[in-house]
Amino acid sequence: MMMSVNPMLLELDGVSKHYGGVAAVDLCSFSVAERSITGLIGPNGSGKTTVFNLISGFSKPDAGQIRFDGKVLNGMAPGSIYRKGVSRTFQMARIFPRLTALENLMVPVRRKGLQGLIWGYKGVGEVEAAREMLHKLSASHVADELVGRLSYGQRRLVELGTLMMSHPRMVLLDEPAAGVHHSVLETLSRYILDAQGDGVTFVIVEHNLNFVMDICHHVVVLDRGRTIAEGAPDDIVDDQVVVDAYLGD
Amino acid sequence: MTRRLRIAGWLLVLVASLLFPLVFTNPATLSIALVTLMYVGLASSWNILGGFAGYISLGISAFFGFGGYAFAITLHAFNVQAGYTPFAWLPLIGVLTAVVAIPLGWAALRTRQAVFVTVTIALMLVIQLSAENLVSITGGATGYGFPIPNWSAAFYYKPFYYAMLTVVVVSIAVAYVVRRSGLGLGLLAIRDDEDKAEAIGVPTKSYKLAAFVISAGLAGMIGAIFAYSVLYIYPQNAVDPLISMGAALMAFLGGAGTLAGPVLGALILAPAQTELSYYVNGQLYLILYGALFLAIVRLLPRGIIPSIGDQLRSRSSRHVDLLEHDGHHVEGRVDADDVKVMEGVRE
Repeated sequence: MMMSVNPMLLELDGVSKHYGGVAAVDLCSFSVAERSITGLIGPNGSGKTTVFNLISGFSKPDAGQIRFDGKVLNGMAPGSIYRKGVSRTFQMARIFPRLTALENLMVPVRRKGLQGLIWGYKGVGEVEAAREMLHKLSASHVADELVGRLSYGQRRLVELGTLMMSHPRMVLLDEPAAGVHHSVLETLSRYILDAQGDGVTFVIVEHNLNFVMDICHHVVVLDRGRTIAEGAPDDIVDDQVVVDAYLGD
Repeated sequence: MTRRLRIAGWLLVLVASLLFPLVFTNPATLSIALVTLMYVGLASSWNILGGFAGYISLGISAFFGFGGYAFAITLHAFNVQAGYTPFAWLPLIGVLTAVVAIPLGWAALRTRQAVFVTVTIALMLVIQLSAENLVSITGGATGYGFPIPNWSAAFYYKPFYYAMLTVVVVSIAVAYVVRRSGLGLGLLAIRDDEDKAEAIGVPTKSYKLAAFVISAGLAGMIGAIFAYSVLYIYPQNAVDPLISMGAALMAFLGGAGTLAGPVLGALILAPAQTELSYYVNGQLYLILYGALFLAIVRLLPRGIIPSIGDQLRSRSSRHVDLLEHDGHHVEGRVDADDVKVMEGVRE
Protein backbone atom coordinates (compact mmCIF):
# COMPACT_ATOMS: atom_id res chain seq x y z
CA MET A 1 0.00 0.00 0.00
CA MET A 2 1.15 3.52 -0.80
CA MET A 3 0.97 4.61 2.84
CA SER A 4 3.60 2.16 3.99
CA VAL A 5 6.40 4.08 2.29
CA ASN A 6 5.79 7.10 4.50
CA PRO A 7 8.05 7.33 7.55
CA MET A 8 6.56 6.57 10.95
CA LEU A 9 5.37 9.71 12.71
CA LEU A 10 4.21 8.10 15.94
CA GLU A 11 5.72 5.03 17.56
CA LEU A 12 4.61 3.25 20.72
CA ASP A 13 7.13 0.82 22.08
CA GLY A 14 6.12 -1.54 24.91
CA VAL A 15 3.95 1.11 26.57
CA SER A 16 2.21 0.14 29.84
CA LYS A 17 -0.10 1.92 32.23
CA HIS A 18 -1.46 0.38 35.43
CA TYR A 19 -4.26 1.69 37.61
CA GLY A 20 -3.91 -0.04 40.93
CA GLY A 21 -3.49 -3.69 40.04
CA VAL A 22 -5.24 -3.36 36.68
CA ALA A 23 -3.18 -3.04 33.51
CA ALA A 24 -5.16 -0.61 31.33
CA VAL A 25 -2.42 -0.67 28.72
CA ASP A 26 -0.05 -3.61 28.73
CA LEU A 27 3.16 -3.62 26.66
CA CYS A 28 1.34 -1.97 23.79
CA SER A 29 3.28 -1.33 20.58
CA PHE A 30 2.20 0.07 17.25
CA SER A 31 3.24 2.73 14.75
CA VAL A 32 1.42 5.36 12.76
CA ALA A 33 2.71 6.39 9.34
CA GLU A 34 2.94 10.06 8.48
CA ARG A 35 -0.05 11.35 6.47
CA SER A 36 -2.06 8.22 7.22
CA ILE A 37 -5.46 7.75 8.81
CA THR A 38 -5.07 5.03 11.40
CA GLY A 39 -8.01 3.45 13.21
CA LEU A 40 -7.62 2.26 16.78
CA ILE A 41 -10.36 -0.24 17.59
CA GLY A 42 -11.13 -2.82 20.21
CA PRO A 43 -13.83 -3.87 22.66
CA ASN A 44 -14.84 -1.68 25.60
CA GLY A 45 -12.11 -1.46 28.19
CA SER A 46 -9.38 -2.50 25.76
CA GLY A 47 -7.37 0.63 26.59
CA LYS A 48 -7.97 2.83 23.54
CA THR A 49 -8.73 6.03 25.41
CA THR A 50 -5.91 5.36 27.86
CA VAL A 51 -3.54 5.11 24.89
CA PHE A 52 -4.78 8.54 23.78
CA ASN A 53 -4.27 9.93 27.27
CA LEU A 54 -0.71 8.61 27.28
CA ILE A 55 0.15 10.01 23.86
CA SER A 56 -1.33 13.44 24.61
CA GLY A 57 0.28 13.67 28.05
CA PHE A 58 -2.91 13.59 30.13
CA SER A 59 -1.49 10.56 31.93
CA LYS A 60 2.06 9.24 32.19
CA PRO A 61 3.11 5.77 31.06
CA ASP A 62 4.60 3.46 33.68
CA ALA A 63 6.85 1.78 31.16
CA GLY A 64 7.78 1.89 27.49
CA GLN A 65 8.44 4.74 25.12
CA ILE A 66 6.23 7.01 23.02
CA ARG A 67 8.02 8.77 20.17
CA PHE A 68 6.63 11.48 17.94
CA ASP A 69 8.73 12.37 14.92
CA GLY A 70 11.63 10.55 16.58
CA LYS A 71 11.41 12.50 19.85
CA VAL A 72 10.38 10.92 23.14
CA LEU A 73 7.12 12.34 24.52
CA ASN A 74 7.13 10.45 27.86
CA GLY A 75 6.65 12.77 30.82
CA MET A 76 5.88 15.91 28.81
CA ALA A 77 2.93 18.12 29.83
CA PRO A 78 -0.17 18.21 27.57
CA GLY A 79 0.59 21.82 26.59
CA SER A 80 4.13 20.95 25.44
CA ILE A 81 2.96 17.94 23.47
CA TYR A 82 0.32 20.14 21.85
CA ARG A 83 3.01 22.60 20.83
CA LYS A 84 4.91 19.76 19.18
CA GLY A 85 1.92 19.37 16.88
CA VAL A 86 -0.14 16.64 18.55
CA SER A 87 -3.81 17.54 19.15
CA ARG A 88 -6.66 15.48 20.50
CA THR A 89 -10.42 15.54 20.91
CA PHE A 90 -12.28 14.07 23.87
CA GLN A 91 -15.04 11.46 24.04
CA MET A 92 -17.46 14.03 25.40
CA ALA A 93 -16.60 16.94 23.12
CA ARG A 94 -14.69 19.40 25.27
CA ILE A 95 -15.46 22.88 24.09
CA PHE A 96 -15.86 26.26 25.75
CA PRO A 97 -19.67 26.30 26.16
CA ARG A 98 -20.09 29.99 26.98
CA LEU A 99 -18.07 31.20 24.02
CA THR A 100 -19.42 31.39 20.48
CA ALA A 101 -18.24 28.90 17.85
CA LEU A 102 -16.10 31.62 16.29
CA GLU A 103 -14.53 32.53 19.65
CA ASN A 104 -13.86 28.86 20.38
CA LEU A 105 -11.86 28.60 17.18
CA MET A 106 -9.78 31.64 18.05
CA VAL A 107 -8.73 30.45 21.53
CA PRO A 108 -5.70 28.43 20.38
CA VAL A 109 -4.33 31.08 18.02
CA ARG A 110 -0.77 31.89 19.04
CA ARG A 111 -0.37 35.56 19.76
CA LYS A 112 3.03 37.16 19.80
CA GLY A 113 4.19 39.88 22.15
CA LEU A 114 2.28 42.53 24.04
CA GLN A 115 0.50 43.75 20.95
CA GLY A 116 -1.01 40.35 20.28
CA LEU A 117 -2.01 40.10 23.92
CA ILE A 118 -3.53 43.51 24.54
CA TRP A 119 -4.77 44.47 21.11
CA GLY A 120 -8.18 43.26 20.08
CA TYR A 121 -7.97 39.82 18.54
CA LYS A 122 -10.62 40.73 16.03
CA GLY A 123 -9.31 42.26 12.85
CA VAL A 124 -5.85 40.72 12.54
CA GLY A 125 -6.96 38.00 10.15
CA GLU A 126 -7.97 35.66 12.96
CA VAL A 127 -11.69 36.11 12.39
CA GLU A 128 -11.31 35.42 8.68
CA ALA A 129 -9.28 32.27 9.34
CA ALA A 130 -11.83 31.04 11.86
CA ARG A 131 -14.74 31.72 9.49
CA GLU A 132 -12.92 29.86 6.74
CA MET A 133 -12.48 26.88 9.05
CA LEU A 134 -16.17 26.89 10.01
CA HIS A 135 -17.04 27.04 6.34
CA LYS A 136 -14.91 23.95 5.64
CA LEU A 137 -16.79 22.18 8.42
CA SER A 138 -20.17 23.31 7.00
CA ALA A 139 -20.82 25.13 10.27
CA SER A 140 -20.80 28.76 9.12
CA HIS A 141 -24.40 29.26 10.21
CA VAL A 142 -23.57 28.62 13.88
CA ALA A 143 -20.53 30.96 13.99
CA ASP A 144 -22.10 33.39 16.46
CA GLU A 145 -24.02 30.85 18.55
CA LEU A 146 -22.86 29.97 22.05
CA VAL A 147 -21.41 26.50 21.65
CA GLY A 148 -23.19 25.26 24.78
CA ARG A 149 -26.43 25.66 22.82
CA LEU A 150 -25.34 23.60 19.83
CA SER A 151 -26.22 20.00 19.17
CA TYR A 152 -23.73 17.33 20.07
CA GLY A 153 -22.60 16.83 16.48
CA GLN A 154 -22.04 20.53 15.95
CA ARG A 155 -19.99 20.69 19.13
CA ARG A 156 -17.75 17.95 17.81
CA LEU A 157 -17.21 19.93 14.62
CA VAL A 158 -16.35 23.02 16.65
CA GLU A 159 -13.96 21.00 18.80
CA LEU A 160 -12.21 19.65 15.73
CA GLY A 161 -12.12 23.08 14.08
CA THR A 162 -10.54 24.55 17.21
CA LEU A 163 -7.75 21.98 17.07
CA MET A 164 -7.18 22.45 13.37
CA MET A 165 -6.75 26.22 13.76
CA SER A 166 -3.23 25.72 15.06
CA HIS A 167 -2.20 23.43 12.19
CA PRO A 168 -1.36 20.25 14.10
CA ARG A 169 0.72 17.53 12.43
CA MET A 170 -1.19 14.74 14.09
CA VAL A 171 -4.76 14.66 15.41
CA LEU A 172 -6.15 12.05 17.81
CA LEU A 173 -9.94 11.74 17.49
CA ASP A 174 -11.71 9.98 20.37
CA GLU A 175 -14.97 8.46 19.08
CA PRO A 176 -15.79 11.26 16.64
CA ALA A 177 -18.82 9.40 15.25
CA ALA A 178 -20.52 8.51 18.55
CA GLY A 179 -23.98 10.04 18.85
CA VAL A 180 -23.52 12.22 15.80
CA HIS A 181 -26.16 13.01 13.17
CA HIS A 182 -25.43 11.30 9.84
CA SER A 183 -25.15 14.63 7.99
CA VAL A 184 -22.46 15.75 10.43
CA LEU A 185 -20.72 12.41 10.00
CA GLU A 186 -20.46 12.99 6.27
CA THR A 187 -19.03 16.45 6.84
CA LEU A 188 -16.56 14.96 9.29
CA SER A 189 -15.33 12.21 6.92
CA ARG A 190 -14.97 14.66 4.06
CA TYR A 191 -13.08 17.09 6.27
CA ILE A 192 -10.73 14.41 7.63
CA LEU A 193 -9.92 13.15 4.13
CA ASP A 194 -9.26 16.71 2.91
CA ALA A 195 -6.99 17.48 5.84
CA GLN A 196 -5.14 14.20 5.39
CA GLY A 197 -4.63 15.19 1.75
CA ASP A 198 -3.03 18.38 3.07
CA GLY A 199 -0.58 16.35 5.13
CA VAL A 200 -2.24 15.87 8.51
CA THR A 201 -1.97 12.47 10.21
CA PHE A 202 -5.04 11.12 12.02
CA VAL A 203 -5.49 8.44 14.65
CA ILE A 204 -9.12 7.59 15.31
CA VAL A 205 -10.63 5.63 18.19
CA GLU A 206 -14.08 4.58 17.07
CA HIS A 207 -16.79 1.98 17.69
CA ASN A 208 -18.58 2.70 14.44
CA LEU A 209 -16.68 0.15 12.33
CA ASN A 210 -18.24 1.28 9.05
CA PHE A 211 -16.82 4.73 9.64
CA VAL A 212 -13.40 3.26 10.47
CA MET A 213 -13.34 0.90 7.48
CA ASP A 214 -14.43 3.72 5.14
CA ILE A 215 -11.75 6.23 5.90
CA CYS A 216 -8.82 4.46 7.58
CA HIS A 217 -5.74 3.21 5.72
CA HIS A 218 -4.49 1.16 8.61
CA VAL A 219 -6.24 -0.39 11.58
CA VAL A 220 -4.76 -1.35 14.96
CA VAL A 221 -6.81 -3.67 17.17
CA LEU A 222 -6.38 -3.55 20.95
CA ASP A 223 -7.62 -6.06 23.46
CA ARG A 224 -6.90 -5.88 27.19
CA GLY A 225 -4.29 -3.22 26.58
CA ARG A 226 -2.31 -5.09 23.95
CA THR A 227 -2.08 -4.88 20.20
CA ILE A 228 -3.64 -8.11 18.93
CA ALA A 229 -3.74 -7.34 15.23
CA GLU A 230 -2.95 -4.62 12.74
CA GLY A 231 -3.21 -4.21 9.02
CA ALA A 232 -5.36 -2.91 6.19
CA PRO A 233 -9.08 -2.60 7.05
CA ASP A 234 -10.06 -5.44 4.72
CA ASP A 235 -7.61 -7.86 6.33
CA ILE A 236 -8.72 -6.92 9.83
CA VAL A 237 -12.40 -7.77 9.37
CA ASP A 238 -11.46 -11.29 8.32
CA ASP A 239 -8.98 -11.83 11.15
CA GLN A 240 -10.16 -14.59 13.47
CA VAL A 241 -8.33 -13.14 16.50
CA VAL A 242 -10.23 -9.87 16.08
CA VAL A 243 -13.56 -11.58 15.70
CA ASP A 244 -12.86 -13.56 18.88
CA ALA A 245 -11.88 -10.45 20.81
CA TYR A 246 -15.09 -8.69 19.84
CA LEU A 247 -17.45 -11.60 20.32
CA GLY A 248 -15.69 -13.14 23.28
CA ASP A 249 -13.97 -16.49 23.14
CA MET B 1 -28.79 44.99 21.88
CA THR B 2 -27.23 46.86 19.06
CA ARG B 3 -23.80 48.36 19.35
CA ARG B 4 -25.07 51.92 19.05
CA LEU B 5 -27.62 51.44 21.80
CA ARG B 6 -24.94 50.04 24.06
CA ILE B 7 -22.59 52.99 23.49
CA ALA B 8 -25.48 55.38 24.11
CA GLY B 9 -26.23 53.59 27.38
CA TRP B 10 -22.64 53.90 28.59
CA LEU B 11 -22.48 57.58 27.62
CA LEU B 12 -25.75 58.26 29.42
CA VAL B 13 -24.43 56.68 32.63
CA LEU B 14 -21.17 58.62 32.30
CA VAL B 15 -22.88 61.99 31.76
CA ALA B 16 -25.28 61.29 34.64
CA SER B 17 -22.38 60.50 36.97
CA LEU B 18 -20.51 63.63 35.84
CA LEU B 19 -23.54 65.84 36.57
CA PHE B 20 -24.59 64.09 39.79
CA PRO B 21 -22.62 66.27 42.28
CA LEU B 22 -23.89 69.42 40.55
CA VAL B 23 -27.52 68.38 41.00
CA PHE B 24 -27.35 66.65 44.38
CA THR B 25 -25.21 68.93 46.50
CA ASN B 26 -26.13 67.51 49.90
CA PRO B 27 -22.87 66.14 51.43
CA ALA B 28 -24.71 63.13 52.88
CA THR B 29 -26.00 62.19 49.43
CA LEU B 30 -22.55 62.72 47.95
CA SER B 31 -20.93 60.47 50.51
CA ILE B 32 -23.35 57.68 49.51
CA ALA B 33 -22.57 58.40 45.86
CA LEU B 34 -18.85 58.12 46.61
CA VAL B 35 -19.30 54.71 48.23
CA THR B 36 -21.48 53.61 45.31
CA LEU B 37 -18.80 54.64 42.82
CA MET B 38 -16.23 52.84 44.90
CA TYR B 39 -18.25 49.64 44.59
CA VAL B 40 -18.77 50.14 40.84
CA GLY B 41 -14.99 50.28 40.49
CA LEU B 42 -14.33 47.38 42.85
CA ALA B 43 -16.94 45.11 41.24
CA SER B 44 -15.57 45.94 37.78
CA SER B 45 -11.98 45.20 38.76
CA TRP B 46 -13.09 42.07 40.65
CA ASN B 47 -14.79 41.01 37.41
CA ILE B 48 -11.50 40.87 35.47
CA LEU B 49 -10.42 37.85 37.50
CA GLY B 50 -13.69 36.60 39.00
CA GLY B 51 -15.95 37.16 36.01
CA PHE B 52 -13.68 36.57 33.03
CA ALA B 53 -11.46 33.81 34.41
CA GLY B 54 -14.02 32.43 36.88
CA TYR B 55 -11.63 32.70 39.82
CA ILE B 56 -13.90 33.89 42.63
CA SER B 57 -11.99 36.05 45.08
CA LEU B 58 -13.52 37.02 48.40
CA GLY B 59 -10.42 38.92 49.39
CA ILE B 60 -10.23 41.95 47.13
CA SER B 61 -10.14 44.22 50.19
CA ALA B 62 -6.63 42.90 50.80
CA PHE B 63 -5.54 45.11 47.90
CA PHE B 64 -8.13 47.80 48.62
CA GLY B 65 -6.61 48.09 52.10
CA PHE B 66 -3.03 47.78 50.92
CA GLY B 67 -3.63 50.69 48.51
CA GLY B 68 -5.04 52.78 51.35
CA TYR B 69 -2.04 52.17 53.59
CA ALA B 70 0.44 52.62 50.75
CA PHE B 71 -1.21 55.98 49.96
CA ALA B 72 -1.14 57.24 53.55
CA ILE B 73 2.45 56.16 54.08
CA THR B 74 3.67 57.52 50.73
CA LEU B 75 2.04 60.92 51.29
CA HIS B 76 3.64 61.09 54.70
CA ALA B 77 7.05 59.92 53.51
CA PHE B 78 7.23 62.48 50.69
CA ASN B 79 5.58 65.14 52.81
CA VAL B 80 2.83 65.72 50.24
CA GLN B 81 0.52 68.57 51.22
CA ALA B 82 -3.22 68.08 51.61
CA GLY B 83 -5.50 69.10 48.75
CA TYR B 84 -5.41 67.96 45.14
CA THR B 85 -1.73 67.00 44.84
CA PRO B 86 -2.16 63.61 46.56
CA PHE B 87 -4.38 62.47 43.68
CA ALA B 88 -1.38 62.73 41.32
CA TRP B 89 0.25 59.91 43.30
CA LEU B 90 -2.56 57.46 42.59
CA PRO B 91 -1.01 55.78 39.53
CA LEU B 92 2.08 55.01 41.62
CA ILE B 93 -0.14 53.41 44.29
CA GLY B 94 -1.80 51.31 41.60
CA VAL B 95 1.55 50.08 40.30
CA LEU B 96 2.81 49.42 43.81
CA THR B 97 -0.25 47.34 44.69
CA ALA B 98 0.05 45.43 41.42
CA VAL B 99 3.71 44.62 42.11
CA VAL B 100 2.87 43.32 45.58
CA ALA B 101 0.06 41.24 44.04
CA ILE B 102 2.50 39.35 41.79
CA PRO B 103 3.95 36.95 44.39
CA LEU B 104 0.62 36.72 46.26
CA GLY B 105 -1.23 35.87 43.04
CA TRP B 106 1.43 33.42 42.00
CA ALA B 107 0.90 31.51 45.25
CA ALA B 108 -2.90 31.81 45.42
CA LEU B 109 -3.45 30.81 41.78
CA ARG B 110 -1.90 27.42 42.32
CA THR B 111 -5.31 26.49 43.73
CA ARG B 112 -8.72 26.39 42.08
CA GLN B 113 -12.39 26.87 42.88
CA ALA B 114 -13.36 26.50 46.56
CA VAL B 115 -9.74 26.29 47.65
CA PHE B 116 -8.94 29.50 45.79
CA VAL B 117 -11.88 31.26 47.47
CA THR B 118 -10.56 30.16 50.87
CA VAL B 119 -7.02 31.22 50.02
CA THR B 120 -8.20 34.73 49.05
CA ILE B 121 -10.04 35.06 52.37
CA ALA B 122 -6.89 33.97 54.19
CA LEU B 123 -4.85 36.44 52.15
CA MET B 124 -7.16 39.25 53.23
CA LEU B 125 -6.84 38.29 56.89
CA VAL B 126 -3.06 38.10 56.58
CA ILE B 127 -2.98 41.66 55.22
CA GLN B 128 -5.26 42.82 58.04
CA LEU B 129 -3.09 41.11 60.67
CA SER B 130 0.03 42.64 59.13
CA ALA B 131 -1.54 46.08 59.31
CA GLU B 132 -2.32 45.48 62.96
CA ASN B 133 1.08 44.12 63.90
CA LEU B 134 3.61 46.06 61.81
CA VAL B 135 3.10 48.95 64.22
CA SER B 136 6.20 50.93 63.22
CA ILE B 137 4.99 51.11 59.59
CA THR B 138 1.20 51.15 59.84
CA GLY B 139 0.55 52.60 63.27
CA GLY B 140 -0.96 49.30 64.35
CA ALA B 141 -4.48 49.29 65.74
CA THR B 142 -4.58 53.08 66.17
CA GLY B 143 -4.03 53.56 62.48
CA TYR B 144 -2.57 56.25 60.27
CA GLY B 145 -3.83 59.72 59.43
CA PHE B 146 -3.94 61.54 56.09
CA PRO B 147 -3.10 65.22 55.57
CA ILE B 148 -6.39 67.08 56.04
CA PRO B 149 -7.53 69.21 53.09
CA ASN B 150 -8.84 72.67 53.79
CA TRP B 151 -12.22 72.19 52.07
CA SER B 152 -15.61 73.38 53.24
CA ALA B 153 -18.13 70.76 54.39
CA ALA B 154 -20.38 71.45 51.40
CA PHE B 155 -17.51 71.02 48.93
CA TYR B 156 -15.61 68.26 50.71
CA TYR B 157 -16.83 65.15 48.83
CA LYS B 158 -16.66 66.61 45.32
CA PRO B 159 -12.91 66.19 44.69
CA PHE B 160 -13.07 62.62 46.02
CA TYR B 161 -16.12 61.91 43.91
CA TYR B 162 -14.43 63.02 40.69
CA ALA B 163 -11.16 61.29 41.53
CA MET B 164 -13.10 58.08 42.21
CA LEU B 165 -15.08 58.52 38.99
CA THR B 166 -11.82 58.81 37.05
CA VAL B 167 -10.44 55.58 38.49
CA VAL B 168 -13.81 53.86 37.92
CA VAL B 169 -13.80 54.90 34.25
CA VAL B 170 -10.23 53.58 34.00
CA SER B 171 -11.31 50.29 35.61
CA ILE B 172 -14.19 49.80 33.19
CA ALA B 173 -11.99 50.79 30.24
CA VAL B 174 -9.34 48.29 31.35
CA ALA B 175 -11.99 45.58 31.69
CA TYR B 176 -13.24 46.44 28.19
CA VAL B 177 -9.76 46.28 26.65
CA VAL B 178 -9.04 42.98 28.42
CA ARG B 179 -12.37 41.51 27.28
CA ARG B 180 -11.60 42.26 23.64
CA SER B 181 -7.98 41.10 23.75
CA GLY B 182 -6.33 37.76 23.29
CA LEU B 183 -5.81 37.81 27.04
CA GLY B 184 -9.57 38.16 27.58
CA LEU B 185 -10.42 35.33 25.21
CA GLY B 186 -7.89 33.15 27.02
CA LEU B 187 -9.42 34.06 30.41
CA LEU B 188 -12.92 33.15 29.20
CA ALA B 189 -11.56 29.84 27.91
CA ILE B 190 -10.00 29.23 31.35
CA ARG B 191 -13.37 29.95 32.96
CA ASP B 192 -15.10 27.37 30.75
CA ASP B 193 -12.48 24.60 30.85
CA GLU B 194 -9.04 25.37 32.21
CA ASP B 195 -7.45 21.99 31.42
CA LYS B 196 -8.66 22.12 27.84
CA ALA B 197 -7.37 25.70 27.48
CA GLU B 198 -4.00 24.61 28.83
CA ALA B 199 -3.97 21.63 26.47
CA ILE B 200 -4.48 23.80 23.39
CA GLY B 201 -1.67 26.12 24.25
CA VAL B 202 -3.26 28.97 26.23
CA PRO B 203 -0.58 30.13 28.71
CA THR B 204 -3.05 29.76 31.57
CA LYS B 205 -0.65 30.51 34.42
CA SER B 206 0.52 33.87 33.10
CA TYR B 207 -2.97 34.86 31.93
CA LYS B 208 -4.48 34.21 35.36
CA LEU B 209 -1.65 36.06 37.07
CA ALA B 210 -2.10 39.01 34.70
CA ALA B 211 -5.81 39.18 35.56
CA PHE B 212 -5.06 38.90 39.29
CA VAL B 213 -2.46 41.67 39.17
CA ILE B 214 -4.55 44.05 37.04
CA SER B 215 -7.53 43.55 39.31
CA ALA B 216 -5.39 44.16 42.41
CA GLY B 217 -3.80 47.32 41.03
CA LEU B 218 -7.19 48.88 40.29
CA ALA B 219 -8.53 47.90 43.72
CA GLY B 220 -5.45 49.51 45.29
CA MET B 221 -6.17 52.89 43.70
CA ILE B 222 -9.83 52.70 44.70
CA GLY B 223 -8.88 51.88 48.29
CA ALA B 224 -6.42 54.77 48.32
CA ILE B 225 -9.08 57.34 47.37
CA PHE B 226 -11.55 55.90 49.85
CA ALA B 227 -9.02 55.97 52.71
CA TYR B 228 -8.06 59.56 51.87
CA SER B 229 -11.74 60.57 51.90
CA VAL B 230 -12.25 59.26 55.45
CA LEU B 231 -8.85 60.79 56.42
CA TYR B 232 -7.92 57.95 58.68
CA ILE B 233 -6.95 54.37 58.00
CA TYR B 234 -6.90 51.51 60.48
CA PRO B 235 -6.98 47.71 60.02
CA GLN B 236 -10.78 47.36 60.29
CA ASN B 237 -11.81 50.02 57.80
CA ALA B 238 -8.95 49.27 55.40
CA VAL B 239 -9.35 45.51 55.11
CA ASP B 240 -13.08 44.91 55.51
CA PRO B 241 -14.48 41.46 54.62
CA LEU B 242 -17.83 43.13 53.89
CA ILE B 243 -16.26 45.17 51.11
CA SER B 244 -14.79 42.00 49.59
CA MET B 245 -18.12 40.21 49.70
CA GLY B 246 -20.01 43.29 48.53
CA ALA B 247 -17.88 43.64 45.40
CA ALA B 248 -18.34 39.96 44.50
CA LEU B 249 -22.06 40.02 45.30
CA MET B 250 -22.68 43.08 43.15
CA ALA B 251 -20.84 41.55 40.22
CA PHE B 252 -22.92 38.37 40.60
CA LEU B 253 -26.18 40.30 40.80
CA GLY B 254 -25.53 42.26 37.61
CA GLY B 255 -23.86 39.39 35.80
CA ALA B 256 -20.27 38.28 36.34
CA GLY B 257 -18.23 38.12 33.16
CA THR B 258 -20.18 40.88 31.41
CA LEU B 259 -18.93 44.45 31.23
CA ALA B 260 -22.14 46.15 32.35
CA GLY B 261 -23.14 43.55 34.95
CA PRO B 262 -20.86 44.63 37.83
CA VAL B 263 -21.69 48.30 37.17
CA LEU B 264 -25.43 47.62 37.29
CA GLY B 265 -25.11 45.37 40.34
CA ALA B 266 -23.16 48.02 42.25
CA LEU B 267 -25.56 50.81 41.25
CA ILE B 268 -28.42 48.76 42.71
CA LEU B 269 -26.85 47.19 45.78
CA ALA B 270 -24.44 49.81 47.10
CA PRO B 271 -27.06 52.51 47.79
CA ALA B 272 -29.51 49.86 49.02
CA GLN B 273 -26.91 48.59 51.47
CA THR B 274 -26.32 52.08 52.85
CA GLU B 275 -30.06 52.78 53.13
CA LEU B 276 -30.57 49.48 54.88
CA SER B 277 -27.90 50.27 57.47
CA TYR B 278 -29.75 53.52 58.25
CA TYR B 279 -33.15 52.00 58.92
CA VAL B 280 -32.21 48.71 60.49
CA ASN B 281 -30.78 48.68 63.97
CA GLY B 282 -27.20 47.70 64.65
CA GLN B 283 -25.67 44.93 62.61
CA LEU B 284 -29.00 43.35 61.70
CA TYR B 285 -28.62 44.60 58.13
CA LEU B 286 -25.75 42.15 57.70
CA ILE B 287 -28.19 39.27 58.10
CA LEU B 288 -30.49 40.79 55.50
CA TYR B 289 -27.47 41.21 53.27
CA GLY B 290 -26.64 37.52 53.66
CA ALA B 291 -30.23 36.58 52.84
CA LEU B 292 -30.02 38.72 49.70
CA PHE B 293 -26.84 36.86 48.70
CA LEU B 294 -28.71 33.56 48.96
CA ALA B 295 -31.69 34.89 47.05
CA ILE B 296 -29.52 36.09 44.17
CA VAL B 297 -27.65 32.81 43.88
CA ARG B 298 -30.97 30.94 44.03
CA LEU B 299 -33.11 33.06 41.72
CA LEU B 300 -30.65 34.74 39.37
CA PRO B 301 -27.61 32.47 39.31
CA ARG B 302 -26.19 34.11 36.21
CA GLY B 303 -27.11 37.70 37.04
CA ILE B 304 -29.37 40.33 35.52
CA ILE B 305 -27.54 41.14 32.26
CA PRO B 306 -27.09 37.51 31.06
CA SER B 307 -30.73 36.75 31.96
CA ILE B 308 -31.91 39.64 29.80
CA GLY B 309 -29.60 38.37 27.05
CA ASP B 310 -31.23 34.95 27.32
CA GLN B 311 -34.68 36.49 26.97
CA LEU B 312 -33.67 38.34 23.81
CA ARG B 313 -31.98 35.29 22.37
CA SER B 314 -34.88 32.93 23.03
CA ARG B 315 -37.17 35.41 21.29
CA SER B 316 -34.95 35.33 18.20
CA SER B 317 -34.77 31.53 18.24
CA ARG B 318 -38.58 31.36 18.35
CA HIS B 319 -38.41 33.43 15.23
CA VAL B 320 -36.25 30.76 13.58
CA ASP B 321 -38.76 28.15 14.70
CA LEU B 322 -41.64 29.89 12.96
CA LEU B 323 -39.55 30.32 9.86
CA GLU B 324 -38.86 26.60 9.68
CA HIS B 325 -42.50 25.70 10.26
CA ASP B 326 -43.37 27.93 7.39
CA GLY B 327 -41.51 25.91 4.80
CA HIS B 328 -41.32 22.41 6.23
CA HIS B 329 -43.16 20.36 8.74
CA VAL B 330 -40.85 20.13 11.72
CA GLU B 331 -41.90 18.78 15.06
CA GLY B 332 -40.37 19.51 18.42
CA ARG B 333 -37.31 21.57 19.11
CA VAL B 334 -35.26 22.73 16.16
CA ASP B 335 -31.64 21.87 16.79
CA ALA B 336 -28.63 22.99 14.86
CA ASP B 337 -28.31 19.76 12.89
CA ASP B 338 -31.88 20.03 11.68
CA VAL B 339 -31.35 23.63 10.69
CA LYS B 340 -28.32 22.58 8.71
CA VAL B 341 -30.22 19.79 6.99
CA MET B 342 -33.04 22.16 6.22
CA GLU B 343 -30.66 24.73 4.85
CA GLY B 344 -29.38 22.03 2.56
CA VAL B 345 -32.95 21.43 1.42
CA ARG B 346 -33.42 25.11 0.73
CA GLU B 347 -30.29 25.31 -1.39
